[in-house]
Amino acid sequence: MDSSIEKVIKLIYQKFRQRFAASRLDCPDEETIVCFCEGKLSKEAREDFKKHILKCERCAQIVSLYTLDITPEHSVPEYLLKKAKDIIDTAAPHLLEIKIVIKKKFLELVSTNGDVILDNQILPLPVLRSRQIEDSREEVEIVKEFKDSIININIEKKDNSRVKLIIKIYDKNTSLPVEGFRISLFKKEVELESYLVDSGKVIFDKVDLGIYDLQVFQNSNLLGLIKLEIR
Amino acid sequence: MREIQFLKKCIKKDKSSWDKFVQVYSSLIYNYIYKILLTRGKIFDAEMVSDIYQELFSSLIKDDFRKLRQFKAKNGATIASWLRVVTINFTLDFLRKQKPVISLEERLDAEIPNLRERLPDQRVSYADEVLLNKEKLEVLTDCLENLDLDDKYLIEMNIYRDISLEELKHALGLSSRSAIDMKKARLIKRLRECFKKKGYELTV
Repeated sequence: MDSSIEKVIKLIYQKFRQRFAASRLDCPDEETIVCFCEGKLSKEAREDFKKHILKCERCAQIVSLYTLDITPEHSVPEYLLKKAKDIIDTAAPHLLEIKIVIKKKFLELVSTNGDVILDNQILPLPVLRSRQIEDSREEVEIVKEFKDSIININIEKKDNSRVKLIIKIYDKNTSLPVEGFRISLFKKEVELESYLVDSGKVIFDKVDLGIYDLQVFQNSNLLGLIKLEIR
Repeated sequence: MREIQFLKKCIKKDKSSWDKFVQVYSSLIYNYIYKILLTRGKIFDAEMVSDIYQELFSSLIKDDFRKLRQFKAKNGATIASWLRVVTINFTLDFLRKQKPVISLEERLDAEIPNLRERLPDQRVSYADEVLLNKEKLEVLTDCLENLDLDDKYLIEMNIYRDISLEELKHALGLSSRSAIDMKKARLIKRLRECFKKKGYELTV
């Protein structure tokens, strides 16, 4: 092996590579990468992915790390195995997170992983901000998909330390209100209120400042969780 | 198909299927995390491996098993091979969150002295000369411009990332080791000649 010339080529290549490196690329999904690594892609797809790798540091790293030896050297500690097995019992499959601040004249939406409804348009919060639309109003309405249902939460400012929550649940396919749901409001693991969804709607009339979990049950099974922080 | 059925049971929260999933794939995930960390210069840190392992399992079931649902057994891909890529992706993300980003330019500058320290013998005198002159590097990159895709890929993976030639057979569409050895030898010869035309002749 001619190591000295390879070292020179490596340096030159490193410089060459910088010309084509792109920071944001539309990378193939993980299964496509597996197929490439295992020689299971068509010739055309393989050539396309090679071109991609020459520009994409991330995918090049993944492909090179895929060659690591998979022989196990360490045993997984028993407590970790147990935790991983138990995770399925405790995890709420869906999660909607909302942080709001009550200001003197309006509510400020700080963050959410749901979409915001504004003038009959559904927009993710970052899009709302990129369009420089003011996300400070007396009411904030957020939606998120929970499996086959749509959770719609309307947060309304009552006074400087309380809000009113109106939670509506629709069927994702028919847009009709659903039945058989229950929503429970928890603060510091203490259940404060719990209601059966009536005509697709539940109202929590006076919710003080604090951090809350709203557990959404469908036929007694935990469907999802709304984490609400009001400051 | 059998693997898809198995995952469907996991997604339906079938406890015995999930337990089996954890039991079967934990060792692969745990040891892969450990090996990726090693390549990133981390000594065995059981706590970090445990953190990544736990977060990875949480990510698989998050949002109603969104991640696990992505597996479709495309082109005969197996759960194990898919989990290897998922683990790599997840671990790289974890590490990225831990350290500040360094630009490619900074990385190059940082690596030059390191490489020089690692190559103290006389055989690398030419490499030293190149290293000291960034302008020369620019001129020599022209030699790489006209290489075909496979040659560039061979440099990227074998010379730049130290992946063995054996591992590159599939990607280069070659069936034997001797064919790939020959391909590399010809590539190096062409580059050596190109460097010479540019006025930089290797003496070693």
